[in-house]
This record gives sequence, C-alpha cells and structure tokens, in this order.
Amino acid sequence: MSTRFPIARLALRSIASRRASAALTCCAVALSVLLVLGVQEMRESARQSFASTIAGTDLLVGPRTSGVNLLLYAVFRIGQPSNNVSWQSYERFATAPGVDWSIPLSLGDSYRGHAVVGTTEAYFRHFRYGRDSRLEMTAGQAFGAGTEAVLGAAAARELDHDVGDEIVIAHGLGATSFLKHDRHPVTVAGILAPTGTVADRAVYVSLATLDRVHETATPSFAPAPADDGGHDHGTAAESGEAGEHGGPGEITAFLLGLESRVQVLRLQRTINEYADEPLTAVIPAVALFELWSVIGVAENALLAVGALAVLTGLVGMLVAILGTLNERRREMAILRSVGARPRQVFLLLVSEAGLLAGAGALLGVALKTAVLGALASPIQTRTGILLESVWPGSAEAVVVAVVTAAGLALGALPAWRAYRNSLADGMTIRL
Amino acid sequence: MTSAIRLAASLALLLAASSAPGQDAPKLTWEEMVPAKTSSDPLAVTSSAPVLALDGRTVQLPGFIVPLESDEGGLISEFLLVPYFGACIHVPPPPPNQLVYVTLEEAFNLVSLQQPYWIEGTLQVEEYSSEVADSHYTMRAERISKYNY
Repeated sequence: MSTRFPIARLALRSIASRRASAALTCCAVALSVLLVLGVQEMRESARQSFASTIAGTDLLVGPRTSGVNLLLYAVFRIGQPSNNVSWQSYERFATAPGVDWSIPLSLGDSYRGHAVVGTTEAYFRHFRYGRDSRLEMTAGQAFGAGTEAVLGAAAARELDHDVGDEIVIAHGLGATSFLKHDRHPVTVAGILAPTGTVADRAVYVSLATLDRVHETATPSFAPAPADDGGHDHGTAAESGEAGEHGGPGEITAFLLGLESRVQVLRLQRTINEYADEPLTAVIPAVALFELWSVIGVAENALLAVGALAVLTGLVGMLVAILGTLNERRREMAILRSVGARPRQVFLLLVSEAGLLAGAGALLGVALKTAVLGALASPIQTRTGILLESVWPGSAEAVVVAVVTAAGLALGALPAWRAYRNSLADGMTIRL
Repeated sequence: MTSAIRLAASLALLLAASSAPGQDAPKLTWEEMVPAKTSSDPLAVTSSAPVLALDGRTVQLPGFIVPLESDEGGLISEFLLVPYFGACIHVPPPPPNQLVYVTLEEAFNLVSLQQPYWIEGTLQVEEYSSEVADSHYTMRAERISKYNY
C-alpha cells in the first residue's frame, strides 16, 4: 500500500504547491537557527580566545583592584587601568626568593588604535598562551634596549608594517591622539607569529622606549641582570645616555612565574599584604574561572533566548500548517478516494512538517556559515576573537537533528486533526 | 559457547575495573598529613613537613580546588587541593603539608570554587631542601567526584 503512496514525494509536491508560505516558514525557522548557532559560536570562540590568552603564569600583580578587573585590563586589554604599580614594588617581588621569571607590563598608549605594551624582552621569552605555547617571531627579532618595537601578527597585517618601518606612538588609547610623540619614531624590529589571542593586536616596545616617548624624569630602563638572554646589545649605547640604573617610575601590572607552583598561595598572600603599596595578586586561572562564573549567566540567558526563538519559528510553522487544513480537506478526500488510509494522511502531514523544519534548519546552518564567514575577519579585527569553526560541525548536525525532530513532533498536531477529519469526512466532504 | 564465556569474563573484568578503585582507595584526612607531634606540649610548633610514609599511597582526599591552569575550553588541568575554602584570601595560606599540587590526566569541568571534591590518586612527596621551596605533596588525580555533605 505504502508503495502506491510515496509519502515523501507527496509531501514534497504538496509543499511545492504552496511555495510562498512554505518559503516564509522555512525562513522563520532558518533565522531562529541562525540566532541560536551564532550565539553558540560566539560564546565558544570568545571562551576559547579568553582561555588561550594566558598560560603558565602563576601570579598576575597590579594595583589594588578586583582580580577579574585586573585580568580584564592587564591581560585582555578591556577597560582602563585604575592605578599603577611602582617600579620599586615590581623589583621587590621580581627578585623575591622562589620567583623564576617576571614580566613588567606598561599600558595606556596606542599606535593607530592598537594597544602599545611596554615590557622587557622577558615577555618574548616567558609569556605563554594556549596550551603552554611560546611566542614565536615570523620576522626579525625581539627588541633590545633601543627604540624598537615588535608587532603582533594582526597589528602588522592591519597596519601593513614590516621589519625596518618607523612608527610614531601616540599617547592615550584612542585610534589617534593629538599629542603625538613625533620626535621619537620607533623602528619595527620584529613581528610575532599569530596566536589567535589579543597578543596579536598589540605593539610591543621596551619600557625604556615608552619612557623616552613620554620624556619622564627617570627615563631609562636597564634590563635586570637575570634578563640577559644574549640579545643584541648593539643598541644599548643609545639608551645608556639617560642613566645606568633605576627603571621607569611606574608600570601597570606584572606577571610572575614561580620555581614551584606550590608556593603560589604564600607569595600571593605576601603581595596582597605588602605594606608599602596596596597591591593585588591573583592566580590567572582563578580570576578566569570567576570571570566564567559571571559571564556564564549571561551566556545561558542568550542560549535560552535562542532556544525560544527556535520554538517560536516552529510554532509559526505549526500555525501555517494548521491554517491550511480546512482548505486541504478536499485534497485529503481525494487521497482517500484513491486508496490512502487515514494513517497515511497522518504521515503525510507529519513529514511535511518535518521537511519544512529540516529545510529551515539546513538553511539556517548555511546562513550561519555565510554570515560568520563574512564577519570573521571584522570580528577578529575589532575584538581579537578568532572564530574557530566557521564550517559546520557536529554541533550544527545536532541542531539540525533536534529542530527536525521537534518539527516532526509538532507536526503530529495538525496531522492528528487531518487524521480525524479524514476519518469523519471519508471520501465525501461536507463543507 | 566459549565466546559467551569470554564476553561474560570481560564484562566482569570491566565491572571490577570500574568499581574497584572507589572501594579500595582508603580515605585520608588532612590531619593525617601532618607529622605526629614529638612533644606533648600543646603549644609546640606543628611541623609543616609532609609525612614521608604517605609517599606512594593511593588515597581519596576531600578538599577545595584552587585552579592553576585551564585548557582552551576553560577546563581545569592543574590545581591546588586545600582543606578549606577561601584559602587564597581571608586567612594565611595553608602550610605546605596542608595542600596538594594535583595534575590531571584529562581536564575537568569545575562547577564552582565553593564545591568540594573527592580526589583520588597516588600521593607523592616532592622533597626539596632549598630555602625557597618546601617539601610538599603532589598527586596525579585518577578520579574526581563531587563531595556530598
């Protein structure tokens, strides 16, 4: 019997005969699927990008503030530093027993909208991201003591700079500043390999360079003896004029790596209770975890909104199918008259609903691929978030399966009505 | 027939393997991780050294988690296990024999910093004699389960 009634083909034909309303229904489902997939994708990519930004650092130290805030501005460069850390405090803890390495960070300047990070070449030797990956240079080398800069991969690409180019750092964080340190151009010494994190978007200069462009009273930064990694000292003579010792007056924050991670709680306590300056030391993994706890609520709310949008789309489809049931009573009667059973009428409507929902979901996946594909590069430029999996994967397959299943399940409602109708109407119809 | 027996045997093995560690590993308390006082004076300073006899013992230990490292998905892969929550802020940190440096085979999803867990694995005493680092416990966690009050 069922061979005489190829349900799937009938359903397709039936949908084809009402193209306009079917297409609109499909679009409603597709848009809702686009919403839920887009939210999910952004959520995962943001999380991955944040979690990959810092690794292998035992303590992040800054002025007295909350741990999450310190992590946000010192590592992710979101928001503004509230205060600075004195160079004395940095030296005190960078040379504390048990400290293996330290990286000072000085933020607050920009180059054409890219954050300028003042640091030492310890940054390139000790900073880790992702799963304990080190920073690599694609061109040139780390800066020595001279007025040189290293560009993140994205910064170099967007600014179209190469090794040897001269750049002028602007004061402040905007895309431009009307107080430019024009007299102190900086030469690009190296370009970092892409990391997929915010490190790609920054311009790195030595603390001495930053001081020089600011022309502060204590301009020179002498690298600590422990930092002697055999880099080129040829440019050291240039900066030597300003003084042999002492560092910049203040830095924004610093990172510490310990010889033994077990000591981290004790050192954290010591720094937090440091009487000479109010400081905050946080374990990056703990601050990151706290950040997830805050963001998690918003993420779940967004996902719930997405899920509700999908449900709305499917209910819209249900309304469209139910609305046509009366005008299709004659069609059902004809089907019955050529031998279709009420069961087959039921199946026909269920499969129509399933087809519409499935097609809508597939269209949604296609839309999401197209939209995110087009937006991936601007999103990375603006936020530093790298959209990892623009191509559909298992998550998309699950969404398509769930939406199709939900469509089939909801389709049972009009199908049941049609089934009852066709039982009552038989082959004749009283309208 | 033989295949059926083999299947049954492997099933039994599988069951034994999955349930055995939970029953076998003895539960350890944090008090047992402090060496016994040598003097009867209640004011005597308690040692912060680990108990060497615990080296190599497979145990279950309850505690709170201070994350040290997380992977790209935000799952925790290294942490310090401490006997009380807030070990990082309100009070002096626990002495070296009251924390365990735990590494994980597979990163796990920490629900909340306030949630205590049972950690099961083999304790090891990492001996140091330098002035900056102390001897301490380390553990390669084999199983982690929520602690139910």
